[in-house]
Amino acid sequence: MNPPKNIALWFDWHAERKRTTKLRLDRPFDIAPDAGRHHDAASMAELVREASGWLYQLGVRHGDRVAVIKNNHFDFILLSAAAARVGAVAATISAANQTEHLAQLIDRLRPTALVTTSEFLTRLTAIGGWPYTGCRALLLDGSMANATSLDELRGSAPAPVSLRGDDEPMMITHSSGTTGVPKLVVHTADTNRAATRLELLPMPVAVSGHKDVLLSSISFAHSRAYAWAAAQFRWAPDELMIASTHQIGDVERLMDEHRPSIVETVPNIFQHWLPLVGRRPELFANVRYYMNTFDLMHPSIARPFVNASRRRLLVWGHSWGQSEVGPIAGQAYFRPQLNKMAGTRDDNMNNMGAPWPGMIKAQVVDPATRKPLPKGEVGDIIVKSKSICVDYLGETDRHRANFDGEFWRTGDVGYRDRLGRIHFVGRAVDAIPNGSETEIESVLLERIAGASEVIILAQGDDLPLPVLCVDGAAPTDEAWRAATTDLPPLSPPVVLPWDELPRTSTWKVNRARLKERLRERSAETVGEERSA
Amino acid sequence: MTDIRSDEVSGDTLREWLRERVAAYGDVPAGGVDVDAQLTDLGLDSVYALTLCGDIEDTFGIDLDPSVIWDHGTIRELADALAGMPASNQ
Amino acid sequence: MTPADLEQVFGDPTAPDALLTHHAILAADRRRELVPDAESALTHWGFGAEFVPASLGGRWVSSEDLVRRILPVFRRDPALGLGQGVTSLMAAVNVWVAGDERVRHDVAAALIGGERIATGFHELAHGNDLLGNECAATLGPDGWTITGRKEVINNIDRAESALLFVHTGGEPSARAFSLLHWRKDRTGSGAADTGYRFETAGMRGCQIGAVTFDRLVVGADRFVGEPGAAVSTALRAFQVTRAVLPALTNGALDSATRLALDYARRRDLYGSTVWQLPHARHLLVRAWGALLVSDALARAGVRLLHRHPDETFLATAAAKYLAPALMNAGMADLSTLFGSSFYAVEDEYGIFEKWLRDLIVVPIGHAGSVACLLSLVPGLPTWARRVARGGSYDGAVFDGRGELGELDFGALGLGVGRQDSLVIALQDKAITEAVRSEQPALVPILELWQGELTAVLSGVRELAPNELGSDVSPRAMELARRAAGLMAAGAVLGTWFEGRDDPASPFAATGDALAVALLRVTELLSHVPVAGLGDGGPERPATWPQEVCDRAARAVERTVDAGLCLGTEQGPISWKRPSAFTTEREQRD
Repeated sequence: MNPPKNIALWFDWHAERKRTTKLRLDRPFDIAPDAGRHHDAASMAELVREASGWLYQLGVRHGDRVAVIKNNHFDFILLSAAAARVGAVAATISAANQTEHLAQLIDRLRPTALVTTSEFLTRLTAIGGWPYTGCRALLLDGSMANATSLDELRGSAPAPVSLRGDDEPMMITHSSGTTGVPKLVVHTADTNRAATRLELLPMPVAVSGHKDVLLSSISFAHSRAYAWAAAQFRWAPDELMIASTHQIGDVERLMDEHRPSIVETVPNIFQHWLPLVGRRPELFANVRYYMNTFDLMHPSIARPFVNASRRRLLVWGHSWGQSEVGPIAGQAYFRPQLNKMAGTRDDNMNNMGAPWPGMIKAQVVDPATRKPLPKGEVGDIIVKSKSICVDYLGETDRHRANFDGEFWRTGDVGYRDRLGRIHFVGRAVDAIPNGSETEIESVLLERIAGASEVIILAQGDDLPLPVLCVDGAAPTDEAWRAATTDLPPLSPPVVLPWDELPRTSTWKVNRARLKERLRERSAETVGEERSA
Repeated sequence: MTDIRSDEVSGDTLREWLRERVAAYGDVPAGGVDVDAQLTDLGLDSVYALTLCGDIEDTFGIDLDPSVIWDHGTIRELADALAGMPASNQ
Repeated sequence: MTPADLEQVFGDPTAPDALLTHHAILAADRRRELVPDAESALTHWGFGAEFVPASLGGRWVSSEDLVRRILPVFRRDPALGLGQGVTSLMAAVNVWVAGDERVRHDVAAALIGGERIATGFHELAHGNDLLGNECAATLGPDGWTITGRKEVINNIDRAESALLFVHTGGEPSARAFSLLHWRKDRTGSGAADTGYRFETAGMRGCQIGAVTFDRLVVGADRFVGEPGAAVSTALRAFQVTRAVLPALTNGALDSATRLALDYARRRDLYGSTVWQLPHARHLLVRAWGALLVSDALARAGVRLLHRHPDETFLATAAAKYLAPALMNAGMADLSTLFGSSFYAVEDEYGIFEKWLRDLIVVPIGHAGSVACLLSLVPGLPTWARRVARGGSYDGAVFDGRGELGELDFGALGLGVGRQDSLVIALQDKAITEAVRSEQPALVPILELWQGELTAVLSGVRELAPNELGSDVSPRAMELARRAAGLMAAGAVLGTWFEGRDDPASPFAATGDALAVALLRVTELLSHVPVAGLGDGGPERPATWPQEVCDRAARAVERTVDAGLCLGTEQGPISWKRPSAFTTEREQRD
């Protein structure tokens, strides 16, 4: 039996089931700082009811919007459910975005309430983004002027429930914003259910069993988290471990408390955890299923994790999707396969799998004519599905412009193989001539000793520019030549420290800003040379 | 084989046609075939139904599944069932 | 999740550290087992989900994709393919054809969850005569009481459930049988003994057993389909397996041919290698020809399921009749090539002997060749009329690059198709013209087949109705055999015509592929005159030109050295790195 479509009802539904799951947090919920790190179905359902009371008390009513801007935690989902209970729509947004951008998002939302922490409200006030007319702030920690603290709202009466229709906006999340201000992605109960359908199917391996212990370190503000939550309530595994900070210390503590059998996060966080799996592989010994979403995974990062597991048969699930669309396709990789790829020209996980049958259709079209291309030819990937978001809030024209008929432009470039599986070549905006920047990145990541990050930047008519982060010494000219002999021509590489790479709230490298930064640096250099 | 459309054709014509076919199959005179006897008693097995089906389709221009023949035990019943069928889009 | 490529999962079968090696397969076979690691890997991989339509939560959309995904199993161990799941497929298709919503979801969940379903149709005393089956069920107050025996049933002991074909009412007729889904954990009183195991000469690792029912009670609602609909359902459902199974078992002939090539190039004989003997090349090329014909016909049958399901009752019967014959003939040619050494089961080529034994046993538990031929007979007059009428050529039937949407199980019928999309390739003007201009040396063979078509059509017109019923005449059987041959020839021509510009097709790789395939299929034409036909049938071409064999042999070498498999779709066997560096574009299919 599946959860109800409306998020407002999920937590009550879960609490009434015979089998439920429980949560182990790396830190208490921001909305319940004194309630400890363990929650079960009943405590979460109670929290949602309370939170809806706070919002109601703050003046939030049916049809309003609520902005939730704070650090990453699973309570994003609880807050969204609380808003939905009163018939409002919450926009869950990570505070790890630029303050100016977040101010713009608030302006698009015109929310009745802003649920946040003092850290962000201080930032927002500093740039003149707060107070915001017609909006009241609920401060989860401490107290500030121009804001209502959580303490003041405790004990509020539960709000009357006033649900919105399945075809009305139910939740707003944001795209990761590698190019400019993030877009506000609007989903209804229907489109969210279409995106969740996949997780509710009893698929082999991927589905949580009753004994499974899941470790999740994703962005809980993004659409993926919503589908995941609904599905986990349905499958009721033994425990869900929430690693909200992504930090090694916090994750290590969680894993010491309970060994996970399923681990999910984004590729850049897996990469961040490489020292952990290197130092304490035994923490991952019981993992039978690794899953990554959001971004392209590189096998050299996956390998240490799969090799740390002692399970005889384990699967790496590479899921490809977008906030705007939900899951598009997914490809399972087996450990021997990942190990055998090492060092070869095929050392990548660009095979995304076949689009989920019955749920989504994908086409590869000519970038100019938009006509479908035959299997084997590279073009723009467009998709059609009931799960596509209904709007970009405040940017409806842009939303509409992103369609080819009924098909949504993913912005990804690739081709379909004989079996209908989609092979990712790159992002349309990042495209380099004569090759796939992502394939090249994967290959170099393995071949360059000590490399922790490789980004190939398109430079128009000039040769693509490799940007490397290395632990230890930069590669010698000879080593570089050897690593690139069978690759398309590239400019000489630039080496940068890892923390200097600008990132988004999902830890993706922001290529546009990286290019800007490099331009600034070279302009500075030129300036220095001139003045010398 | 002549082409006759079933919507023009009465149960009578069908019955006579079927009688002839069953007779040919059993290698007996058509006059000796009783339209109310069980087809299986007349020696018509379920295998031959498959052949008969194709013959009916091509003669009367209808789309017919062999199991229809299995479900109608006598020539009369089968003829009545066929007379009610619409012409196909062949 | 789109499953990982099984070629990757299993690895190189000659490498000691791979998951499924020839060595392990042979060792398990000696113990009458399947390789346990491989079985659990397949379950983990989600083998059962392959047999469940996507609309029910499984992976099955295009049947050709299903074949492609599972071929790696059959390339290594047909017994594993059969023992692990193809027999579950046989049960499942009946449910997809006729089951109601509840049983469809039940069975879907069971398969996706890794359960096996046995197919309980066969009784030794009645062989392929379904209507003679005696195992019966009678309805009582608690449900159906089953008494009787089913024999030579794969996995009957370890499967969690079985689909049973039982007599449920009246005189034995096509309406007297029903399908019941027996779940072992949900039965009432009575007993079912599944302890007996048959010891077969091939497929030794499969657990082929029997079940004896002693008044076993199952719920009254355990029907699959309407009461009395078992024959109708099975005849529809098995068209799917009759198409898919030959396409899969071709994988074994593919591997065997590659193995024989390896052997021939390495084995020293009187100071040179076996490969240097013209006769050895001839044998290998003959085997390749058998594979091409069998694969062209089988794959066309698979595509017909999606594109022209009205034709598949005959087409799949033809495929299931001819494919084993071609395959066994191909294996026989290869065993001659191996010489006496193929009995040496210990060395690296010992796996060949196991494949040989396995393939002979493939028809076990499924309709044997004679049954398939019998399926063709009743439809012959209708078929002949419609072939004579002509139709329109559909290239998608012969092209592996097309899209096949989810199968419409309800569209499968028991009649003759509106046209014959395979034979039509023999009649099509564009194809005839293409042969004339591109392969003029093969025109005589083409004309031979066109003449054969005319002869068979007129022969069928002379058949009397009483030759077509359950007392089939020898000449009706012979015409059925020749009709199957015509379908195979049509499939070869169509696959060549569409494959000439397909980089993954052998027909694009070498012009000699058509010659080899046509020469091989023409050997099906009997030169023995059959009483009553008058013209005695066409003469069989005498020998294969040696230069054709030599060129074809070199083409097979190039294909194998490039790390590609053999068949009508030469895709990469990806655990082998291609010997020449290929760019990203060239590696794409």
